Amino acid sequence: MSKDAHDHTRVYLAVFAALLVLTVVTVAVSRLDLTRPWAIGVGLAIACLKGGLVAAYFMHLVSERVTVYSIVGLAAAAFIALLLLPWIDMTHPAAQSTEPPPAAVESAGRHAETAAHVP
Amino acid sequence: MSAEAALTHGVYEPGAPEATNGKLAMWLFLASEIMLFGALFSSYIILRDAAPFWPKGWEVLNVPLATLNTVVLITSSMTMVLAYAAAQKGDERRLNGFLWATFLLACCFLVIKAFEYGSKFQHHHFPSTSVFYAVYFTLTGLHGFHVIGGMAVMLFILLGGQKGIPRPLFVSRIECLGLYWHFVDLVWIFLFPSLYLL
Amino acid sequence: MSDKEKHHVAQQHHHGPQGFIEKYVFSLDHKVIGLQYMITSLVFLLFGFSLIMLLRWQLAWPGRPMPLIGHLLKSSMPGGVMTPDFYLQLGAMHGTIMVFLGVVPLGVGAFGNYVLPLQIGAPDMAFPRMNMMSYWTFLVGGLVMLGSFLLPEGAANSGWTSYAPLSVQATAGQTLWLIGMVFLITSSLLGSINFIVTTIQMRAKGLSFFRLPVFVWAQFVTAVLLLLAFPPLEAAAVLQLMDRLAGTSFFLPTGLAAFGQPMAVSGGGQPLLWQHLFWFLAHPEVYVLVLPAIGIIGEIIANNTRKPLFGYRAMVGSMIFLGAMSFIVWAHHMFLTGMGPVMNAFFTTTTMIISIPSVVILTTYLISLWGGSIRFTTPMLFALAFLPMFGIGGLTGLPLGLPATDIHLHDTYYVIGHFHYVVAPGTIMALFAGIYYWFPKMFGRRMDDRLGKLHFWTSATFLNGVFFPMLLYGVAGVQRRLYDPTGYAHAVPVQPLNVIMTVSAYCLAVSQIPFIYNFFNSIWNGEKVSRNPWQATTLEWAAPSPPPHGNFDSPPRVYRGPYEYSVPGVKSDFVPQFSEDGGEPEEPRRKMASLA
Repeated sequence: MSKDAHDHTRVYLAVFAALLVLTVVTVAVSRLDLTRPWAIGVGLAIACLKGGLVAAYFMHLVSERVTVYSIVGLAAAAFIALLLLPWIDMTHPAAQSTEPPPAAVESAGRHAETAAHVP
Repeated sequence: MSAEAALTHGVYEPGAPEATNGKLAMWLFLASEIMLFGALFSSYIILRDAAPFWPKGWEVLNVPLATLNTVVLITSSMTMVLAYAAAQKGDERRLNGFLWATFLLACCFLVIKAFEYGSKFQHHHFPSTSVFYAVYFTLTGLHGFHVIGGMAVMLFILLGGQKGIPRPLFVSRIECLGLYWHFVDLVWIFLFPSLYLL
Repeated sequence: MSDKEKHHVAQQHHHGPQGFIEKYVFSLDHKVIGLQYMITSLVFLLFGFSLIMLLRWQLAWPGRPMPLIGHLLKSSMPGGVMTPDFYLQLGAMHGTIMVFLGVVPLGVGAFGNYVLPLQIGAPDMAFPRMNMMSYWTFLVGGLVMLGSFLLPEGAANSGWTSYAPLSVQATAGQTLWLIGMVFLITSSLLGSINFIVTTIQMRAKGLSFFRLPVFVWAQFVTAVLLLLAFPPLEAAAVLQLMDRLAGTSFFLPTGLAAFGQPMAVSGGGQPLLWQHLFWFLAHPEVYVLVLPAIGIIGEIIANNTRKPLFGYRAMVGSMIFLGAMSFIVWAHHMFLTGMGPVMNAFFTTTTMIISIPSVVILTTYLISLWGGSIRFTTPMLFALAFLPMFGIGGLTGLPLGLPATDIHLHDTYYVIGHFHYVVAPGTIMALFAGIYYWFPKMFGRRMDDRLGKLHFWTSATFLNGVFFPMLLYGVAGVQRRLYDPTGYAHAVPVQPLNVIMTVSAYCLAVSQIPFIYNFFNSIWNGEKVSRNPWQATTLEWAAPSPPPHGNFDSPPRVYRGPYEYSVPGVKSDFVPQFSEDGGEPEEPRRKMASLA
């Protein structure tokens, strides 16, 4: 584990420099007034790059064991499910009901007769 | 058994993973933290996307200050990994030096954060003001709590809390602290553009 | 360090003379912690059961004063009749307590902690101090939750599901519920990290993953589920606390009015966000409820059929697949929230798929019985009963997983009947089985078998007496969480079912008395046993009964799979995992003289 710790210092400094540069870039890009999808896409891409560098080199994921990869992989998969599915449900037009909701007045009248269950 | 006293390599067949118990535990903890912050990010995205109006980070928040904070935290991450490298080499002086540097940079982060929050409160912007501020204060606040937690452990080590621990175990613990600290940095790397720049 | 040295370190864990507090209260020994979890969770189970017995009186005889107890709770039950608000508190807290303070701490905290290190041949958990912390945070969380009953306006009353915006506007009890949840989630995280690291790192020599007992696999998958599924609920709890205490509007939509007045909040929040975050945990949570039970049943079936479990790999694969799928089915609890056809279709598909591993598991257990030399011990009776009960529970879930039928059944008593079948005649019976099975290991004495059988037959009967009518009651269309169901015309004809359920529930309560007596009496007066009274094959039976600190005389070594029962050519009908000797060979059968 302490093999060539000297070389590692160079790597750490290089990653640090890259992180600083990317920070400047991401702030600069955000001033460019890109359209929303592009702004989000570029911003997220840079963040992923920075995060990836921290994870790979500072957290040593480049040289880790399968067990650790599995742990991170599982968490990533669960996170993606948590991120995508509620978001699609609550905001994406494709997931919305195709029928417009019934007018409020009519349904209030019908409510008394039906055994409709309100969630 | 104090498994920590027996340095933590399990008993099993050759070819199996060589991670120490502590390191595995830290990665598992980080997996749970990914889910915690992931849920908060997910909530942020949903609330923002479903809202009819949402201010741009640039318009409402102090971007230069936050950029400085980002640089501070990234630097602290570097000093942390250098502290770990020193621990591996057995260089106690360098280890202490870099660990103090990390701690002080973390303090710096919190001070800048305090300025940010203070300025917001002065202008009567509280979490209850709008969903934007609710998200901002909650996300950065929880992140801040994690910074404080890391600082507490650092201080404990710097003030001699780990004296007398066998060396390999001590190095493993510095590694675990480092993993935690880098994760805190990682969360900020995503928080910063999401809240301030977009 | 060699194994022997490591074990020596374990034995010599510098104690010196340990005081009572250090040895029994703040113990670091996984066995003591396991027993602490066991007793505490059984007490919470009893408390949660008592709450529902109160509630069931109101359901069976709405508005009638309850004798004796009704007059003790002066403010909640004026004149012996419970207020609707108290009814809701009872309902919400019953669910919360049973799930989070009863079944999971018993299945995972008690059995997992006690048995897992023993079954993998470890001297203790990987992190004994963290283990102790996990128990105490659990206890604090539990006491905070229970303490909420003492507040002036009572405990949480927004259902165990705490849906927003009702829960955000609810009384102070809800804040304690949220704080209690944070403690419980912390306890769970500490525990799951410990379980996973211990299982990966501290298995005995020769104990590869595919030689692990199914109980260990079940606990391992459960721990992974807890690790990844709980944090989003913790995040949601923080957000709801912010809404309640800091005036934020994470879950409060714009234009929300309360009692005719628009609420003075910023609005802009999303109530459905709470539901997504809650169910993201709560669905994997139900597998957390059932997996330890499945693990326990596997051990008992193998042991009492005297043959190896059928389909070990299919079982393990199914548990892993079940765990993985459990993360992407949660919105089947939300079919009626207007998600739209795409989302409904997605979650229906995943829900149907997840029924497959459950069926595989049940089938492998049923096939395991075939051709077995079945010993009808008390644990085996509970284990055998688990199978059809879990079957009914699972099958009744299918109409709920399909939106077309769920439209009629959602939020009715059918749902309550379904999930109780899986948890009560299902998991809880498996947990009883586990208690009877491992009691000899824990206390060095066995429980009384006749009382055990009495406990079994009465419990099994009355559990069905409570929950089978509930399915019918729900199909009749009666909604959940109604203070007085007879207020609805369609519920009046089926009201007698409520009487049957309540009477059965009271009989079920009485049926537990022999068990409680048996448990405590046997600790001191039970028949003493040897190390391996059940003649079992797994590692925990190599240790003395009860095991000392450090568990084993010397570090065990594993030579074979976990269920080597009735091995052909061997005299004895079982060969333990830990015995070097493969068993005395059978005497070759003398050839029958030919019938010439």
